[in-house]
Amino acid sequence: MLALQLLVNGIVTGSALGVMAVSFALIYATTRVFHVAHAGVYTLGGYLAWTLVHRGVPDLPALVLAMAGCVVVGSLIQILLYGPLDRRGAAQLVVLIASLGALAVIQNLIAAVYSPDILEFPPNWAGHVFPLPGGLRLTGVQIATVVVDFIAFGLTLAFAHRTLLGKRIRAVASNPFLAEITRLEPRRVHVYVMAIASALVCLPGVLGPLDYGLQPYGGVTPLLTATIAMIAGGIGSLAGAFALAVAIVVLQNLALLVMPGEWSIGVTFAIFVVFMLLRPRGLFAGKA
Amino acid sequence: MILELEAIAAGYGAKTVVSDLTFRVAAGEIVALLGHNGAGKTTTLKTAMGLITPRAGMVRLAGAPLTRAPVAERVARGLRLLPEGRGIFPDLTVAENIDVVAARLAGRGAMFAPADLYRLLPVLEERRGTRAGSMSGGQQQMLAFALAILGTPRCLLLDEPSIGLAPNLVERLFAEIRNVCRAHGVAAVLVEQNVAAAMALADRVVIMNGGRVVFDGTPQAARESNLWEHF
Amino acid sequence: MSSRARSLLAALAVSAALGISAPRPARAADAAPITFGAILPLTGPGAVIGTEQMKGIQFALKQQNAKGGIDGHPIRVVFEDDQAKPDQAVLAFNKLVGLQHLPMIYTAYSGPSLAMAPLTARKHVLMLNAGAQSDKLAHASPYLFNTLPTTADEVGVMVKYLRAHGKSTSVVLYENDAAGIGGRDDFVREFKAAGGKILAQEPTQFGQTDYRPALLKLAAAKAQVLFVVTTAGQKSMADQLHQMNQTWLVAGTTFMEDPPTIADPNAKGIIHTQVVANASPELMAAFKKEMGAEMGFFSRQYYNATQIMFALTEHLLKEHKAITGENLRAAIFQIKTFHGLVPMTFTTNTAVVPVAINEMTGGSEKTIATGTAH
Repeated sequence: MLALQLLVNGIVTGSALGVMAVSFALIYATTRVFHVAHAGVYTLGGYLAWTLVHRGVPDLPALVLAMAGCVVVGSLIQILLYGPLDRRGAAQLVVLIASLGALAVIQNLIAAVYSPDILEFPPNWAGHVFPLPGGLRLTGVQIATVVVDFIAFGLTLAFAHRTLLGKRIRAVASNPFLAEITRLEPRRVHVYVMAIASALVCLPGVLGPLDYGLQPYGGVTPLLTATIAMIAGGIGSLAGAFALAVAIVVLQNLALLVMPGEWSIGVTFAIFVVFMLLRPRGLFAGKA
Repeated sequence: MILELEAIAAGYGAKTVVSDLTFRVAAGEIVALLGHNGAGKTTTLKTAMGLITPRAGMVRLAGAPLTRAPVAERVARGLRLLPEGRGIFPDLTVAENIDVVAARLAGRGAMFAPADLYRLLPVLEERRGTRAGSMSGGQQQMLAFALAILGTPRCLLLDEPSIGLAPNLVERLFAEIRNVCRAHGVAAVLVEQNVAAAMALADRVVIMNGGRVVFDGTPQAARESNLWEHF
Repeated sequence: MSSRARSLLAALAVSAALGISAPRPARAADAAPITFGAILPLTGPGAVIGTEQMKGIQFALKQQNAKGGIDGHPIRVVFEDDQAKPDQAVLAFNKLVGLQHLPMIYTAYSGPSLAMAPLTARKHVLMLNAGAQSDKLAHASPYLFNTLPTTADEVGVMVKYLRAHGKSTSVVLYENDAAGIGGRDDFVREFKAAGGKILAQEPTQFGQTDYRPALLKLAAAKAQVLFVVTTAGQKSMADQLHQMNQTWLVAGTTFMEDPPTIADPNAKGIIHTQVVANASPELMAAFKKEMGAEMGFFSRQYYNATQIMFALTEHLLKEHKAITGENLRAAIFQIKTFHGLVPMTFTTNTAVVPVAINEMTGGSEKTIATGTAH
C-alpha cells in the first residue's frame, strides 16, 4: 500500500516534470540554447493564473490566458534576446549567461510584485480527495496533473511527427545549415518553438502550484531535474526526456522505502551519474 | 546568363580567400569548378548562395542583382546548394525530409514535386519510411540531391557531391545530375575533387588558384593545355 | 535650491517617512527627550519582519508622545539596520551604545541577539527581544529579556496538552534547518521526558512543498500524533494530510498560524500552539489608519514591548532614578508583571506568557486550551 501510493505519487509528479523536460528538450534541440529562463516562464505561468483566479476568472480560461502570457514572454525572449545574440554569433556560454540574467529578472520581478512568500490558491477542486481501488487516494489536482501532462506529452509527440510544422522543427534541430538553405527559416522556427514550449511548460507551471503553492524561485529545482532527464534520456529524444523524468521522480519516491528522506535525492542523482558514465549519450539517443 | 559573379572579393574575418573573381554560368550549362584545397571554390559557392556577404563585387541571378539578398530569396529564385557532407536531415525519415522541403519550395507547377523525385530516384520510394541518417552513404547522397532539386531549380551549386562514394555510385549520381540538367535546362556549378568524372560531365571547366580564376575553357581545351600546372 | 537646503529637505523627508522626529504638538513635552535604540533588519531578507517590528514601536511612540510623552519627556527611538546579520548588529550596537550611550536597545533575530548579548552584560545595557525564540536566548545575558517564550517553552505547552489527552506515541516532520531542527529537538526531548515515545522522524527542505513521500513514510509508523515543525508551505501540507486520511492528531507550532491554511477546509482538526498577543479591534484599526498596514503579529509584539519600556521609564522617573541599563533591569523584576497587550510576568529573563492551543475548524480556528509557557 505504501509502495503503491509512493509509486503513483511519483508518476503524477514525474509527468509534470516530464512535460517540463520535453519542452526544455524541444528548445535545446532546436535552438541549442540552454534556456534556463524556462524556469522563469514556468513560474510566471503559475503567478499569472493565480492573479486571474483572484480577479474572478474561472479556472479553465485562467489557464488558457496564462498560457497565452507565457507564449508572449517566451517569444519575446527569443526575439529580443537569443535571436540578436545568435545573429551576432555569440558563444553558447554568453547565451547561457543571458538566459540566467533573464531568469533572475523574471524571478525578482515576481518576488517584487507578489512578495517572496509562498502564495496559495484559494481552496477549490484541487484539494478534493478521490479514494481509488487498492487503498490509493488521489487529489483532484493530482488526477488533473497526470491526465493533462500525459495528454500534453502525447500531443507534443504527435505534433512533432505528424504535422508539417512539427517536422519542420525537427528538421531545423536535425540540420540547421540545410534548413537555412532550403528556406525552412530556422530563426522563425526558433520563435515558434519558444512559443510552443512556453505554452507547454505553463501546464505544469499552473497545475503544480495548485498542489504545492507558488514561490518566485520555485522553478529552478524542477528545471534541474528536467535537464538531467533530458540529458539522460538522450538529447533530441522527446520520449526519452519524458520517460526519464518520470523514472527519476518515481525512483526518488521509492528510495524512501529503504533510506531516510534526506538521502533519497542525492542517491537518485548518484545513480544517474553512474548511468551517464555507462551510457554517456543517454538512453534514447539516436544512432546518428 | 543564369548566375553572374563579378569582381567578387570575399573571405572570413580578416582573411581574404577570394579576390577579384569573375565567373558566369549560362542557363542549362554544367560548369566544373576545380582547384586544390583552399583555392576558394567553396567560398565562391557560399558567396553565390548568400551565406557570405562579399566585400566587393556583384552577384546576379537571371540578370537580377542579388548581392545583399537573403539566402531565402535566392533559394526562392531557384539557386540551390548541395552542401558537402550535410545535405540531409538525418533524424527525419526520407519521406519527412522530402515533405518538409517540398512544403517550402515545391508549390503548384514546380519542376520537381515529391512524386517526380520518387519516380526519378526509386531508391527513395523504397526507403520512404527509413530514418535518413541510417541509410548508406550513396542513398544519403541521392536524398541530398533530391532535396537540392525539389521545386523549380535554375542553378545548382554542388559542393563535392561524390565525396565518400564508391565509383559506381559516383557514376549513378553524375548520371542523374546530367539527366536533370539536360532534360530541364538547369545549370550546375560542380565543385569536385574527382577531376576526371567532373570533366566528363562538364560543358566548361573553370580552375581557381589563390582565390582567382586561372583557367576558363572547354574540357577539351583543359585537357590539351597543361592543366595540372594550375593546381 | 542650495545643496544645504536640499539635504535638509531630504532629511525631513526621511524622518517623516520613519515617523520619528516629524513636528508634533509638544504639549507637555518641555522636558528633555529620552532616547532608546532599536537594531532590526530593515533591509535584506529579514526586512519584511523587521519593518513590521519597527512599525509596532513607532505606533506606540506616536500614541504616547501625543499624550505628552512620559512625565513630559518625549520618548525617541533611534533605528539601526543590521540586515539580520550578527556582525552588522555588533557594529550598530557599538554606535548606539559607544557613541550615543543609549541605555536600552530592542533586538529581533536570534543570531544578532546572541552576538550582542555579551556586550550588553559588559556595557550594562538593557536589551529587549520580542521576536526571536531560540532556546539559547534564555540564558545568554543577565541584560537580555525575552517577551516571547522560547521554542522549548512553547513546545512544552503542546507536550503537556498531548500527554493530558492520552497521546503517548508521536512521529515528527521537521524542516532541515536551524528552526526546524531546534523545534524537533525540543519536542523529542520534552515528549520523551513526559513519558511519550517517538516512533519516526523525517526531514523536509525549506520551500520544498511536496510532503507526500515523507508523510507516507511517517504514516507507516502508525503513531497517535504527527508533530510538525516547518516554517512555510503549511497549506500544501494540510491538503496532502487530508488526502492521506490518517487518524493521527496533527500538532504544530506558531508557524502554523498561516491565514491561507486556516482558511483551508482540509486543515480541519490541525492543532498548534500560539503565543497570545491579541490587540483590540479599535487598536488594530487605529494602527492601520496611522501606519498604513495591518497590525501583524510582530507589530503587536513590539508594540507590547514598547509598553513595557514605557512602564520601566515611568517607574524610574517616579523614583527619581537615572535611566540607566542597571536601573531599567532592576525595575523589570520590581514591577514583575506588565499589562501591555497581554499580562506578562518576569521571574527570569524570559517572560511567562499565556500560550494558546488553537484548533483549525476548516475555515477558521478556535482556542481549545490555554497554558503558560515556563
